[in-house]
Amino acid sequence: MDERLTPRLLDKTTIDRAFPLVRNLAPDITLERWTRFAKPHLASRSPDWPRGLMTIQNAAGYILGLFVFEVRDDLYEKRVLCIDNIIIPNIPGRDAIWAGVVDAAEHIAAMNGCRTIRAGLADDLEPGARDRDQTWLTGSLEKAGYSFEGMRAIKRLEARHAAH
Amino acid sequence: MPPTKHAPRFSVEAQQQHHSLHLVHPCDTCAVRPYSACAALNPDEQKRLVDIMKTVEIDAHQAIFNEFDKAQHVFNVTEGAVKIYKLLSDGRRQITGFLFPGDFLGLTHNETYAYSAEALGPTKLCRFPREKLEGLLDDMPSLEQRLLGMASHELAAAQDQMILLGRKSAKERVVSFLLMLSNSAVRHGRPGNPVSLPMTRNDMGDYLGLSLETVSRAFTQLKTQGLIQLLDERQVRLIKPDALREIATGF
Repeated sequence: MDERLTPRLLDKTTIDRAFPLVRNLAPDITLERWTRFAKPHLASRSPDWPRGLMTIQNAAGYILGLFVFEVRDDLYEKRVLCIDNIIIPNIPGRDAIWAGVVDAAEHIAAMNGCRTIRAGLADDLEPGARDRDQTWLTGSLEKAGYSFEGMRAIKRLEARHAAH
Repeated sequence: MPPTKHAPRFSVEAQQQHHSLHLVHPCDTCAVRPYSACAALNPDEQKRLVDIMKTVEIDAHQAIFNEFDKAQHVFNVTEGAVKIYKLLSDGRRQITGFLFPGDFLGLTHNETYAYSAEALGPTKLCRFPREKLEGLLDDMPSLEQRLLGMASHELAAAQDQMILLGRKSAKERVVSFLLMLSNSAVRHGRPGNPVSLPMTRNDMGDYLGLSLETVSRAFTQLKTQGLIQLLDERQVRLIKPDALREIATGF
């Protein structure tokens, strides 16, 4: 049995196939919501500034992990590869899936002249899974050579919008 | 180890000492082992897995576990078939996959099961306590790797369903489903033709997003066209597999 994991770009024909993986981590997300999110990420803004959805698949073509990537222009660091919405299921072997994500991201960065990768943690997961999975994810990021720098401030406006 | 004069004659320990090659445990007689993730194990690893395993038998239509139950066990189907389903917020049931001998069940979980699992007919499973299995997997990278490489767990089954739901016509969905079952059977060392259908037409319709009547109509149409033969309620012979493959791909 071929046990290699391979990175492959998600395209419009495989958006639906990725849905069970997304639903596994975020049960409230519907197929419509996932499709609406994924479609715009499939198209690059331009060949110079690629973006996309990368999947990690086994030899049989099943999607075991995915992440969103985008090459951005940073004022200081110039070309930066940003990855976020990293989805890795809580199944035995997820360290191997994570290794596939790390390798794929470094490959995309090298191909696009990026000397820095910025990884965002899974903000979109449901709260229970977020706390538990972030502990594993932060540990995995550190093991893969990532350090935690800077900070991000988030203000949730749902309550304010609901009041108006 | 050579037999010792004072070794107890009938204990497992004594049997291992006297007949280490002939000691039979469930894995030795398991027909699906060569096609399951367990095939990757060496004898020592297999023994460690057997030590934490229990064989369980489930009657037809009995629950193996329910959605939101605490996810305490991982299962490997060794005989029979299982359907997995989710209850929707409006009370309806959505079947998301069917699992067969060799398939793992309960791998994709967090603290609670994200779906329910029910035996379609009399079903045998190997049951592993989740925490103990996860502990063992740390020491058994070959098993872990093979589990990932397999197309035999509920996440894969749910992805298969998404492919089927993407097919346009009812006929395409039913044909794709039959071919998928056939391929899965071959992958697990069972004959791929005739195709075994342990699920009801109702379950099939639920899984394929079709009504019972539409599924039945599709079967009748395929039979009339001489593409399949209905041997009985639970078995279908694929008479023209190439023509069926063309239908499945939308030609």
